[in-house]
Amino acid sequence: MVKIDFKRDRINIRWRGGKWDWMIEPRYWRNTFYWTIVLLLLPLFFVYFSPGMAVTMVSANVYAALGIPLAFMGLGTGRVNFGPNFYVGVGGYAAALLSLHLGFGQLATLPLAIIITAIAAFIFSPLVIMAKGLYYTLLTLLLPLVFLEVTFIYTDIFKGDVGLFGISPLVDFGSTTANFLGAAYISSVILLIFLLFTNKIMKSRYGLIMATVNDDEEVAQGIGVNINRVKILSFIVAATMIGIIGWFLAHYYGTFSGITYLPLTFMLKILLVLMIGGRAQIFGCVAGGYFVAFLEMILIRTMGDFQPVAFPIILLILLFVLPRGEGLFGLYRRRHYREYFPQTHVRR
Amino acid sequence: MRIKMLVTCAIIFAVIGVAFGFAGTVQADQKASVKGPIVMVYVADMASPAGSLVFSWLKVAAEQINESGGILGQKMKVIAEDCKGQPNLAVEAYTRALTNHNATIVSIYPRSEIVLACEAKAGEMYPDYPHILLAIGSASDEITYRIVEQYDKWKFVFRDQITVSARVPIYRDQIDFFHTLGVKKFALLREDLTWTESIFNAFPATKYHPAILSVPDYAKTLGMEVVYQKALKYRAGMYSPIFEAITASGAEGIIFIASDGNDTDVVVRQWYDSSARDLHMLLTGATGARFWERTGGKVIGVIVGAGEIMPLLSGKYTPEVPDVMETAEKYGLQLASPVLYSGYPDMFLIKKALIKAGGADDINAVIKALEETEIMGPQGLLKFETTRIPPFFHGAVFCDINDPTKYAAQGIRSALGQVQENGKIVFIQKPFEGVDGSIDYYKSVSELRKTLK
Repeated sequence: MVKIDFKRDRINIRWRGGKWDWMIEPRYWRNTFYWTIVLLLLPLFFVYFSPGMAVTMVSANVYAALGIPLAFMGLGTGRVNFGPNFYVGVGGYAAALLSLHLGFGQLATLPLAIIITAIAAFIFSPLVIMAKGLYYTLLTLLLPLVFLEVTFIYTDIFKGDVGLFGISPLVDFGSTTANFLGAAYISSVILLIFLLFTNKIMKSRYGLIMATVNDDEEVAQGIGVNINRVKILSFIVAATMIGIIGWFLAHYYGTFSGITYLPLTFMLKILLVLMIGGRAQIFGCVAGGYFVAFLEMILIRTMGDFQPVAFPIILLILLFVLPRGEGLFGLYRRRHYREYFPQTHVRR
Repeated sequence: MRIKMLVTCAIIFAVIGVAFGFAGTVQADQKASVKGPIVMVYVADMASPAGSLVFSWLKVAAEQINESGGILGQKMKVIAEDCKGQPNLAVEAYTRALTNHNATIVSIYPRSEIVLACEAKAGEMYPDYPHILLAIGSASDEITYRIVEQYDKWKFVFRDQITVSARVPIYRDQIDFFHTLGVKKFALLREDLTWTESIFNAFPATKYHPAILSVPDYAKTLGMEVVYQKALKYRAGMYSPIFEAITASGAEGIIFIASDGNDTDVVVRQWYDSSARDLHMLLTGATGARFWERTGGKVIGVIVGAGEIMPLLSGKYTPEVPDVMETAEKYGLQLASPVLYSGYPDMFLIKKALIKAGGADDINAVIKALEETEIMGPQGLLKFETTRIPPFFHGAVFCDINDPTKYAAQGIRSALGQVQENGKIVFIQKPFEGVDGSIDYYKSVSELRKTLK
């Protein structure tokens, strides 16, 4: 029998041995709700007024959706992964090769790309136990670069610098506007699912356990936390989420090349999204992703030859000026400290 | 608090809406007004030297076209969109080119992966935004596959560069030249990128032509032997040990196949200081008129693709394309292969095709005109292949499609030259009838080096 209790700030739902809380107090859901509406309205707005902006929005969603699992991974493993783009490569190449050689459509490649990325992440997950500090940084940094070399050595499979092309499109509605909307909404939905998923984990008991691992592994172990399991699970789950973005990129662009996603430049952009948005804030990745993507687009359109210099300078200044760990989103958070936002408990 | 937030959101949306609405109105007004310029948007990594150089030449060409009366009274305008060498930014730029700039032609330079990503997006947008996609400098065979497979969907895609498969005559020419010099053993170096791998490994047979021998196998048929072969990392930086190994292998000459962006100046400097310095040295990718200065004259004696540094034809031979040397001097521009092979002459080919099509309004007519138009440019006759055979279709004509190991009767040409005294490049092959060039002009490296002070 389902039992429902109405409390001041929540509704408790009990069924058999389980209990679910549904937060009804506005401060818990209002911001999320408003921003979700904005996110869902933006594609319509852009497609109507400036379709080019809808494409920029897709990039922003991709950056944000890469930043979220990276923050999640950092929290659960207590280490900063400098090679998240490796899993973009795994997911992207898996989707591309399956599409090209087996003729799979985008829906068929998705579960397989997820499985293949998860397997790859599982293989490399012992790194979070074996290494830490500078060694972990270097090892994770090297992984995508080694993969890049592999794509050059086995050009028969990966087509080297040219990349794989002719991958089945993400959407094909036969109309430019519908395709723009389709891609923008799919990227937005992926982003929202990532946010929702991460938010749920952060608020759960498991999120607290992850935070303890992040705070101090020895203390966490001392109070009975199986830290290896937490670290490996966090690593695999986050890497798999990153792999989904690889799948998205392969089908969205219809071409996939390691030289675009595996070098340091792409990885640095993701780290900047995380740092500027605010690595302690899950919503910060969204702010960071949108800020970096739109700043880059605006500078390209307005600053001409000075743009390649201006872009990193602005980002560097922001890195120093913005509140440490809280980034752009921290500025908003400070003014609205009573409102609820999911937060990562980051020390490292 | 909630009302305040809603009001704030409403104001933000209203302001952005007004701004975009204004932008949209301006664009609509521009479209509705008297015919505006014909717009070409150039998508490239503008921070790269070649990317910005090609843009400078495109702008100059547009200026020259406009000075001579434009295209049926319409001006030509070239707009650059920087993609920073990234596919996502290139696709964004491509979308803006069509939706914001209302471009008739979108040219992309040069990475094949970027062209392929934009090509996919262009295919989606073409029904709503009819236009021409012109890939400048992209050599990858894959670009033209889908044009053959689905002509109606991809007929708007053209490529002005020589496709990888069409380059066989160049490499046969190089081996033939070494053979004529009496070289029996030589070293074969290539930059480790996909396009060179295709060249050095035998091209597989297709339903259109039989398999083509790899470069080493072709050398064998002439009684020559490749005694040292290596794929070098792109911009490897350290070549001295390789030159020492080449000397030890007993090679009498070296062929190094590289592309424009490679560090061929470093290669030359290290070769000059190595024990291989007296061997015949043939190098591609030594682009740019300032190659002599960049190597401090150490490039003397090196055999280069002459067309990568200077025009093979100019002036009286190219009546529809202004003299490239004079234009370079007048506007203070540098010469390089992306400019000579394509870019600059493309603009005059496009002009001719647009006039033939009666303007830019009917893209189908423009496509047909582009397929039928030809123009004599600085590297020979520039025209697009119209036989539907991959990967040559809609690419610049270079090799004979019936026998890709030979040059086409008419098309773009390549010719070998040697860097001699004071950086002067002398044709050691006759590129075209009436243009001076002979193997007799070739001088040994050691002989030329004596002229260096």
